[in-house]
Amino acid sequence: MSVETLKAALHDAAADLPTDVEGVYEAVVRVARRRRGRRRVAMAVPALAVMLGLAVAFVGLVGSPDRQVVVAGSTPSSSTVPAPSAQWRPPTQRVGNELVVTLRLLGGGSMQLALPASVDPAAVTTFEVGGSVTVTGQPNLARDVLVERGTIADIYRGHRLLKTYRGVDGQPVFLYRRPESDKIDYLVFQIGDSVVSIWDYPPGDSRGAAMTDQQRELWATHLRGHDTADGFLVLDPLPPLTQVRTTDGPDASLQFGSNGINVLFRACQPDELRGPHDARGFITHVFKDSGTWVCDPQVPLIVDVFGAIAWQRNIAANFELRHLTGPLPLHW
Amino acid sequence: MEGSVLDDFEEFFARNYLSVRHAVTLAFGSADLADDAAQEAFIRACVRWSRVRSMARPQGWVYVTATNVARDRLRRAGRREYSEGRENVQEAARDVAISAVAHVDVRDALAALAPRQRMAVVLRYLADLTNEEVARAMGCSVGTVKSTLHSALAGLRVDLKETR
Repeated sequence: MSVETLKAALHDAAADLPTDVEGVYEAVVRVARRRRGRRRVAMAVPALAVMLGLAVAFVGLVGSPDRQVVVAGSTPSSSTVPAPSAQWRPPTQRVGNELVVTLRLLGGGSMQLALPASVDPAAVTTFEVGGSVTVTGQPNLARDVLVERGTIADIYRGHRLLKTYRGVDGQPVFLYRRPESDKIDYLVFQIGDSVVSIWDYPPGDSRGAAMTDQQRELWATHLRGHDTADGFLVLDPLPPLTQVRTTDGPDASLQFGSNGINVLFRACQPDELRGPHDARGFITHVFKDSGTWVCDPQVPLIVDVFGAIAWQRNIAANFELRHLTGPLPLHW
Repeated sequence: MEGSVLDDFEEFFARNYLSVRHAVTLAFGSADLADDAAQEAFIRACVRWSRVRSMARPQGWVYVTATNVARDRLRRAGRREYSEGRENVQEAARDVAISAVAHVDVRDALAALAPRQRMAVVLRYLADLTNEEVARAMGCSVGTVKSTLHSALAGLRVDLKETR
């Protein structure tokens, strides 16, 4: 028997196997969305006693660096005070029989999430803002952006500092190896009260090429952001870095311990559009352990309520999203 | 831009999911195990899609991940079954493979291979992984993959001259 005969026989054998995949893709994506939020939390919690802000964003990178400044060996100063705004929570107010939470996205868009008055704002344990996308001709350089509230000295304490670059305003930008996260390197920025980390493959990694020094310098000199007056981080990358619309992960996530709410600005899928509309115009799908998905076909967006079944029922039936103002990921 | 990233993953899923599931089925002899492992691999790919999609061979990553998941689950099941006094799970898996594929000659031959030989053959010649990827999936060196494949092909009476 030849190798080609063996290959053909193997393919024939595979062709005889069942080919039913109905519903598998939807289930895979659903579990992935949920797990993506939890993965970010799991990465941040060991580094901070209280972790409040995380985000994932793709940021595109094109062109060549416009300057080269590399300062090797600098070390971030050690912090002896708690992480900045460690107790920070999104602004809330009680209006009638509602708790109204202001949420602002990484790109600056904002909204108000109205919840039943029974929800305790002090129970908020995590606020995450989800990522935006930019792929401007070089998709292999698109990157997740991990945002954690705190200081570099706190979050990267004990990790190996590989190199220091100079940032857009002359501040240091550090390249760290963070072994607990899949042996990934991170280019690390302190922006306001948040630490923003850009992942990279270590040199020689079989999964993909590491960025070049010039590419990291480009990141360092073009990624910037600020804290808004109400305490949210907003990214303002300079061209050629571009922040565009969201990934498939949550654009905003508010967690109350093991219960939570994810907001995803994306069109409802055909299977999510099946079912009756409620008085708000929403279509609700209950997956129990996998959460309750509420599709708003008008915006469009998805609200994913997860956690205890009673929590899911209460929130899914009663929440409202109001005052959506741009830039929202859908319109980027 | 709406949905562009999701569409990207959806296309990747559509192109590769069945192939991964089938390869794991043939490698481990269990359709249920293959279902679990393939789904878990694609979930992990979706979670870190921005990273996986930038890899030189994302499909290779998914095959390797699915195989590792299947191996881990088989190992855990093995420990559980051993504690209950049942036969070694590797043997059980092999029996399943034989019963599932016995009506086709090449499957007979495949099922008669040692589990690691069968896994190497399926990953190399059905999934079309590189020797390095097969090594990562099997948790061994490239040299071990080559020697395992060599003995497996000899067992299958494949013309070994073609493999040099």
